[in-house]
Amino acid sequence: MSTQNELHPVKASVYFNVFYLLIGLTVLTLAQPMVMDLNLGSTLIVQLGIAFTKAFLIVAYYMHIKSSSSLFKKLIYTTIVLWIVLYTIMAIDTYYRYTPNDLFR
Amino acid sequence: MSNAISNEPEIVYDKQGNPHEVVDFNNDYEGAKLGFWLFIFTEIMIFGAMFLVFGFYLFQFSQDFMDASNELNRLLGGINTFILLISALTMGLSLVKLRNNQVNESKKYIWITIILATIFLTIKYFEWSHEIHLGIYPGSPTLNAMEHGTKLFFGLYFTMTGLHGLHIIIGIGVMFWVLALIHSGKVNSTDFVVLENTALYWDLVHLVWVFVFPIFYLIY
Repeated sequence: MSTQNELHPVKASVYFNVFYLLIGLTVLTLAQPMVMDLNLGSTLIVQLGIAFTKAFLIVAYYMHIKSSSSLFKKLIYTTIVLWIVLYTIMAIDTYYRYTPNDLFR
Repeated sequence: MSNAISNEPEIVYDKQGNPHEVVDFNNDYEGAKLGFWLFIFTEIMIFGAMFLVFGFYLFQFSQDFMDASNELNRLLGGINTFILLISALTMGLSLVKLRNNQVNESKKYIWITIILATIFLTIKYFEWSHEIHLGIYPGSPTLNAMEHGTKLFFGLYFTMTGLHGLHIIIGIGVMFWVLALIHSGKVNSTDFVVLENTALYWDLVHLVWVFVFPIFYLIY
């Protein structure tokens, strides 16, 4: 029952392909302020959009989640949902603190 | 001692009553990776909380944050982004090489990663030195005289890039440790989870920078 045999092989070519994609996205990140003069909200949407795309590529390929067992995939999905719930609650709480809608007043 | 190690195999029974021998878990590949992922989640909770704080103050002091962001050196920040990007690749390649039993190649890529990480820290040193030279550091009289939002921006800047830099320093230390383990043969082409977890750690360091860079340097 060796787990080694079940391991997904990692290929250098995958690393290089993802690397080129990441380089491209990083160039976009740096070019955005020079190409498009956006207001703060739009800048954040564009920049965070690129950042989340890069994060997806890193987690899926560099951190091997794409080729991992379903245990790891489920762990990641569950944790992401948990983070969103936790941080949304904190964000709502902070937004309404010291206002008439403050739950803890 | 009653719990002395016996040579008898430990037997457990499943629901159907079939016996199963309990085998050694010390070399549990999935377990080692699972444990490391749980550690990564705690790291993301730490950095995530800081990003959240940044988000709140960005909306309260938008103009101050944008003005302060303009003060940062985007060229140096951009170079550092590319350095981390390349180092994440070399770290991954060292794992590929070790799994293909190309031990010396693997060690070479770890050395390249260490050098890139050191260059990152050196550039960070010059960036911080410049800001400290201008009198901008947490608690400085110059910074305290500035707008409230500017103080918060630079406070968060030094805290977050500082904590990130600390992770880079720890990462370099871990890489030296892995090099020693590879050298002694304890980490090899069939038992490589230590290197794999080190690569995961390095990807985390890269991942954090992917978000730190745009929110601090590019919101002007």
